[in-house]
Amino acid sequence: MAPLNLLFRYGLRSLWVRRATTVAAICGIALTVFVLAAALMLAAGLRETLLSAGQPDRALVLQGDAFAEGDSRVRQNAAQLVAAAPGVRHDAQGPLVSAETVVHVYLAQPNDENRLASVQIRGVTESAFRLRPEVTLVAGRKPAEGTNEAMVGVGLRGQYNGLELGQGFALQKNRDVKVVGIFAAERSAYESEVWVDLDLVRSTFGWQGYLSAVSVRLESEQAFDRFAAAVTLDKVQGLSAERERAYYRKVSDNLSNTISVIGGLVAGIFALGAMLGATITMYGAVSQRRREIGILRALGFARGRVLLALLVESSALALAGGALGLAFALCTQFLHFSTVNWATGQELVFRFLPAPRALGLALAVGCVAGIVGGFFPALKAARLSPTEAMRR
Amino acid sequence: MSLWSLAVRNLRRSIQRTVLTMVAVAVCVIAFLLLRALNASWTDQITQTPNNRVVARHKVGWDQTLPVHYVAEVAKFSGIKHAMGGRWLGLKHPVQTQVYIDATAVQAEPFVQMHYELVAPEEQKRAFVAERRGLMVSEELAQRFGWSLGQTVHLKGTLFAGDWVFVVTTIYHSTRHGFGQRSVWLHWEYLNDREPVDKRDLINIISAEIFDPSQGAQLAKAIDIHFDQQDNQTFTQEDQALNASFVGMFGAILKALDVASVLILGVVLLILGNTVAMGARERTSEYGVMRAIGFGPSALIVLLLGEAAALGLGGGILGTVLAFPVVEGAASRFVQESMDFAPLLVPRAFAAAAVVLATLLGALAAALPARAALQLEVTDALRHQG
Repeated sequence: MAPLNLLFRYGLRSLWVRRATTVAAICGIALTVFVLAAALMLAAGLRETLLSAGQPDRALVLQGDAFAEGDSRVRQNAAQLVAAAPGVRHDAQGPLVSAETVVHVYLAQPNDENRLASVQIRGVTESAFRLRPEVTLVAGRKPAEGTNEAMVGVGLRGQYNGLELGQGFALQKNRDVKVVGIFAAERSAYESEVWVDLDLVRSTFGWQGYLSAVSVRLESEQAFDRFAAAVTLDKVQGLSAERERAYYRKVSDNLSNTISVIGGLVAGIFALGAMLGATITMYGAVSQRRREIGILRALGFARGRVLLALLVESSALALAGGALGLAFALCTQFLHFSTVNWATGQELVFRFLPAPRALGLALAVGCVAGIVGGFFPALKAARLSPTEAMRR
Repeated sequence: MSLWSLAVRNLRRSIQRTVLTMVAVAVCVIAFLLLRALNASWTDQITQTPNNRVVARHKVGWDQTLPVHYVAEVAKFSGIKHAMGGRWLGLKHPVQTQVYIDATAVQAEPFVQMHYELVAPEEQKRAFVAERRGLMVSEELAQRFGWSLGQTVHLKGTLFAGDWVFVVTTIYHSTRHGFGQRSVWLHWEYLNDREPVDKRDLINIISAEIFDPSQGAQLAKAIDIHFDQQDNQTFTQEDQALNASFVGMFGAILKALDVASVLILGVVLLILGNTVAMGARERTSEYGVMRAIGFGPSALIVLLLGEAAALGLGGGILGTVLAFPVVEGAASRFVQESMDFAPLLVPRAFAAAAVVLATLLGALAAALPARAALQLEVTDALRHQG
């Protein structure tokens, strides 16, 4: 195996000899991998945020054809109807059912008064906490029921005016709320919400007698069908039931689609550019070393071996570029990304999630670009006849 | 023969490399223009908004409502030509539920008078105003659902539950990018009468046409002051400012597109630099000869700069020419089908800039090889083995 070993070393050393060209090719691949990885990480982050909000054994009851919680309006007594439905899980305090009202409030960024965000406000009762055990306080305390106290999801904390412990904002004219707590919810979409007392929201926004939606925890995932059949039976109420997972997938569909389509399209073209860059580099490497390659062939290295040596060279380029690109991409996870989800009109905070699949796919695309780019030059080298190559 | 033409002729010495480089640069230019087109599909919504409108919305949030009598009060302001109230409601097709329909209930008469960008025959617009259940439909939606004039259509309400029956009175074409392309417009009175008594007479926005566009900001302020003592306060902006703040909500996505479009220019620089450096290395001994027979350092700079700039220019032109069919054809169809986007257009200014940028990047890419060539001793250069 000595000759093979030698060939690998030869390939790698030639990369070093042409340092400037090598660095340029590596950077080209690194940029491709970076852009692709960043786009995929963002899409993964959005999925994490919206899908971890949805638990398999939770469901939402909305008004018949409503698309999202914010569009839905059901009568107050829907909560009792849901609580009595079969399949609902009970704990010591009774059925796990939470009546909620969702509204949106414009808040400005502290450093830019013109950048308004539409922050989702969820009016809740104590049941909301029993229903969603993932919601935990990270600072301050829980708002007391029946007061104007609020708690803010960590994603929004400090991002908009008034959303910091001890501060507050106006829900309506003369209806101020005070932030007494900051909560986390396993990075789910709830972290992009402000929770306040249900009755405060309803009296402030003229929702007396109505709710947006009723959330419920079921005995099991399988209990859903039974539950949904019972809830939708009453045609006068006109309710619809949805699994929480399906609901969050539906409302995030458009945004996550946009991010992956744009990201994929752009990264695809970047990858083509990087592939061509690698091709140019490797053609240059081959034409410069015609004589060396001729000598190798004359010494008895077979065509396949020469092909292999050059492919090793371009693979090393691709791997180095890919690793560099991933390193940069990993830095993006410390960035804060926040945009409106236009399907619900809600400001949504998420992160670049370093999901193994996203990173792996980006690295693979970079490597393929490098290796494919190196293939034809390597083939050309392998086909050289030793005598011609040495004659120059 | 001048040195510049010699520089360009050097490109013929390795046709394969020249072609590959130009194609690679062209691919990057296409990517650059695609990113700019995606960005513009949002920002064009601002620039194409008429400047003679102000819009008032509820100060607190988009799902809040204002009393309808605010419209009449706004209409009385001096400087206001027409004012109309609107309320959004979600509608969906009973079968094709996945198609997004943007539906707004409007006060028909002033709406039709104000919105000249929704182009339809005059009699169709009059028919909309006259028919209580009338529906104005964009040609795109009409085509998608196979609706024709005079047809009775049934839709499902999402925000306002139940079945809705309309008569298609108008099929319009929107001349304004990103406005009304997937919209339907119905009578506000029709919606209002279906609501329970305690939920009636409410609107979400007031849109007003003004006589003098330069008065917009002042009028907006005056409107907000007028309603300041009321329970429901307004937040009034010029329509352009409103759309800018709407687009600002996607600011993070636009910024990401900007960053990527700068990165792609970096890739162009790397590709061009790489090619020029390879050529320069191969020709080191020739440079030695040139220096030895009396050409100054500037001659080498001209040679390298000319070659690199020509590469950039060639790739830039190729990319820009191809960007139009690629971006406005295939990519545009793709984004429209997969994510409800308005058609993509290559921003003309950026198309011109791309050619210039590619040429300049070529010149910049020549800097390092030129420096290396200048530092070389003539004797070393002559001895150099390619």
